[in-house]
Amino acid sequence: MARRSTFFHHLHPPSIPQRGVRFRYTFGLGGLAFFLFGVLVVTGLLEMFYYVPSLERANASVQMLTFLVPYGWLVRGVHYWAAQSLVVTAILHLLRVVLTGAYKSPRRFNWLLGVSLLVFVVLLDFTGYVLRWDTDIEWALLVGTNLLKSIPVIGELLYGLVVGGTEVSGETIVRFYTWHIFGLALIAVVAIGWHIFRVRRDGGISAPEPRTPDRIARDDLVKREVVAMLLATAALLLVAVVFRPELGPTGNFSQLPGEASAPWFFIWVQQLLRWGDPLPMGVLIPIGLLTILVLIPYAIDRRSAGVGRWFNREGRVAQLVVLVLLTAIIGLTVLGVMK
Amino acid sequence: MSVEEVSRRTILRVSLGLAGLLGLGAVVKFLGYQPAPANPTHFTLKTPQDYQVGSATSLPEAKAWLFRDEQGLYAISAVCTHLGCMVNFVTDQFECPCHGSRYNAAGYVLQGPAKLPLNYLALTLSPEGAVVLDTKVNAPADHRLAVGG
Repeated sequence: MARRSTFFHHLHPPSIPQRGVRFRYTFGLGGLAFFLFGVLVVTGLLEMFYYVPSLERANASVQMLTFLVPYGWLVRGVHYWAAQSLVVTAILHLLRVVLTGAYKSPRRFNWLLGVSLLVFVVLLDFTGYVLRWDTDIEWALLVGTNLLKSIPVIGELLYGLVVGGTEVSGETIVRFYTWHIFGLALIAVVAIGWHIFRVRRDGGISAPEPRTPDRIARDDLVKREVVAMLLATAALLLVAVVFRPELGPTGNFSQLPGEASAPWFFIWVQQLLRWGDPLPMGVLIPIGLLTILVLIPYAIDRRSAGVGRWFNREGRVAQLVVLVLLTAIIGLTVLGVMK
Repeated sequence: MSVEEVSRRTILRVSLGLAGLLGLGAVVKFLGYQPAPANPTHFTLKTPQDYQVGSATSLPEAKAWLFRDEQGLYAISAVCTHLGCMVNFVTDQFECPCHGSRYNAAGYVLQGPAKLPLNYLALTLSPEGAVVLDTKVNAPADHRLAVGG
């Protein structure tokens, strides 16, 4: 019987070059990110059966999910840890792509898709964090949304679109809920599909020329993927069982806690904001970092030579730039934590 | 300009682009609706005599602090001028928990990143004689609500 050609078969041709799937080349990071996103979709859909996006019931519904619903704590725990792991995995995946020169032509457009996906992942983590609506999220929500106001010309408009009014209120929960699921996750699903479609379209996982003739069969590839997914599932379940995500009493925006700490992935921005005005520190610097990332294959390293080699000579400047940026972000985070 | 110079395809593309822009504008308008502020901006407090000279009273609902000195009552907004966090009043200083700005007791900046002083808010008396705080109206720094006998 003739098999229909499916998206699965597009991604899993009868055989693929062995070099590209070597573990010490990719560390399976792109695949892991894809899997984590799938876990987030499934657990997120389950959470939607209980979550109520309203001022009165948002936090209460998360409490119910966590403490009353059978296995609710596990669903929430896996969603939480998959989200945090996804941020780390996406960054490591980006680092691997830079250090092996996989961003080079003809994969430049896919690099752009990947950078956009990183933005989506971080915004998804932030909006998801806000949805639990406990006292811990209050500062982050106030600061994060007030940052928008500091943008000239379109700031007030953006603030209204994100917050749903002139100040944080019950409308804000509905906004964040809708942005999280439809404004971000749904668009990310499309972008992820496109991103992995482009991998094969651009000639498969990057590898140095000339390519060696060693190939592995589809079954072998699928076998490896299944093993990796099982391992990742086991790790997620273990972490979710041992470390429960925090959940404080409901936020009310009048009695704010005395201590204010950004969620871990934004501590570096909080640290920058301690040093200056909102617009340069909280908006322009992060946008500047993204611009540098976007420019890597278009301005910093336009050649296609060196593709597929760890620390290839041709991409030294790009590698240095990204390592310096990453070190700076980690350094700022450490400074911010020590405050 | 003759008819041949603009192709049908160009007209279609431009129309499609314009329609898309119009639609986008409509979506932005749609999402930008601003309901009336959910939180009150008028706060009726106690009578002026209830606040002692030298007292500092936190008004978390109004995001403000109420003080009384020899000249009378005055209110300072607790909204940090840097990024809108609520400052705490600790030992004669306002401190912002978010990014570490500090202000003196009169609301002037001691330490950044904030650059502007805290706002003074308008105080009036209600017909019943209670202090009324309006968080939407700023007052000069020497604004005092005199406390009668």
